[in-house]
Amino acid sequence: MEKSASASGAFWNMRLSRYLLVAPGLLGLAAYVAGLLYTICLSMHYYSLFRAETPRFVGLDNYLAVLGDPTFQKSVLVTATFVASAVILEVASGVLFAYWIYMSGRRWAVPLLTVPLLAPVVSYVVFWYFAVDFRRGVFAQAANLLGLSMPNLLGDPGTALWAIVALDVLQLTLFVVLIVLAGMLGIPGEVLWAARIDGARRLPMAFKVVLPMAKTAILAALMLRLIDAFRIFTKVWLLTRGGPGDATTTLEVFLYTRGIYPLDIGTGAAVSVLIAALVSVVAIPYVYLVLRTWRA
Amino acid sequence: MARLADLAVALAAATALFPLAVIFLASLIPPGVPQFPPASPSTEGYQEALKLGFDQGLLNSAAVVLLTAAMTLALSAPTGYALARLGFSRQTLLVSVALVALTRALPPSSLLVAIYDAFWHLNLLNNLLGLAIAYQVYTLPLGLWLVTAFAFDYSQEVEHAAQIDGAGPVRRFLHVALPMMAPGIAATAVLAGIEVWGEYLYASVLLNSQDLLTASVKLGHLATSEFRYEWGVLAAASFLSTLPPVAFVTVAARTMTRLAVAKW
Repeated sequence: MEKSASASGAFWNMRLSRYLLVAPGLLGLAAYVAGLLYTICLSMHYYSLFRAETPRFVGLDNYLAVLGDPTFQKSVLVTATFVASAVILEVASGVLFAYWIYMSGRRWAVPLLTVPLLAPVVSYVVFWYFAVDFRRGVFAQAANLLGLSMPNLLGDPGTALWAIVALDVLQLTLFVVLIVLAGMLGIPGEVLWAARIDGARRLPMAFKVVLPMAKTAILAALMLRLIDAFRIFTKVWLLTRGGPGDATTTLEVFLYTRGIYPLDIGTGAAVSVLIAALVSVVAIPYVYLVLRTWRA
Repeated sequence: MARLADLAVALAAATALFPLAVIFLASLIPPGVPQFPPASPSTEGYQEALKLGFDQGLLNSAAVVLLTAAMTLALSAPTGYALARLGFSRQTLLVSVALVALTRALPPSSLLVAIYDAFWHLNLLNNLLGLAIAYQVYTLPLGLWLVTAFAFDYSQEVEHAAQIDGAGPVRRFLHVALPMMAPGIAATAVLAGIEVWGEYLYASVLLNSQDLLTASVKLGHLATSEFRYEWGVLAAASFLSTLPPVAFVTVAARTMTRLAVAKW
């Protein structure tokens, strides 16, 4: 009798400790979701931390105001332009580089390639100051040697965004290289041998063997870059503050200047919800893709 | 083909190292002599950066990184282990994985306004502990994802033996799983640390007193102040803030490569 009581005690003890162990991280995720719901709630209030008045429910007014704001519309366009051009360039050149490095078999270079991903973004911004400064920067000196003059890329509304795209490509192409290269290194050696013995030449080797077998890694790199490119803030904020005019005002810069800096919590929350909704276009396929790999 | 491939490797390595090389060279520019590369290298840039309190910024960053990584491990290690090893249903696992993927995919900026408002009421603004708590938005999804993948990896046998000897889940986690996952846990800490070491948006919004600012925010202030034109100082400060994460290059390279092959 006593024995069975202690056995069932141990059983409950075990169940309890299972839940105890699984709880911390899941509670953290629950807090994340709660934060999102709180943001949605804040976005439907008129609420500024600068004023002492209590928050007032205004329904969708904040959203209507933000959506009707030409600067917001511009920032959607600027962000879309940035995301599309940076990600296309990064993935295309990243896959090309990864393939080259894979075929060369030179892996010693791989640790070096992570350096740009470890360096703080702000350091990259500082580097870009030195590089594109049109008076005495690195590129300006090279241009002078060739008898050309360096345009003021960051000061011209027509080129500022492209100068930032170029910096992003310079830093993050290597992220794509690493992910795709890792995918290629997972291809069994026999497959390559078989293809070689069958006489596959260079292009068929790339397009019929290596790239198809690394396609999950390529898709992963593409999605991770898309997700991350939407978060473009620091590079823009420190290089141009969203200017000249609103030529480089991305969604996060808009969030900062309209919501966070003036402590206008209601507007800021509405912008946050809109950003999350836009990112969902990429986020939901990503979740689907991750689930598919876990299911297998 | 071989020569072309060599060229590609060299080019990739060059794009990785060129910015760092430019920053290092520029950091030797003496104040008041705007010339790149410097004709007479000096360390005055570094001295000036330290005089401006940049060492304090590095210390603050280190403190925040350690706090953040410790919290992330405390939250994600038990959960990752439990999800992988304690026989939770497939349903539970997939729902957790979906949540992790979703929180990884949504931009951290979406939560910043809510966090700012909550911290305002909780008195956590301008507080390094508060910043580390907020940073869980970046690192918790990463940590859960990594630890769960690592927990699926190590061999089951030792754990079965411990289970037969009558060790409960908590003891198995502490005495079997943690030691066996140690390399993975360390890599998780390193990647979480790197993720937030250079973070700018949250740190610049949630901190404001000079003696609490992280290195990234201080560097951002330098880069947009009159020191923008003192290349030596600016470059010295950015070189100093680049060194600590780059020191972990091998760990990071190995984990990132592994990761990509596993279930990103």
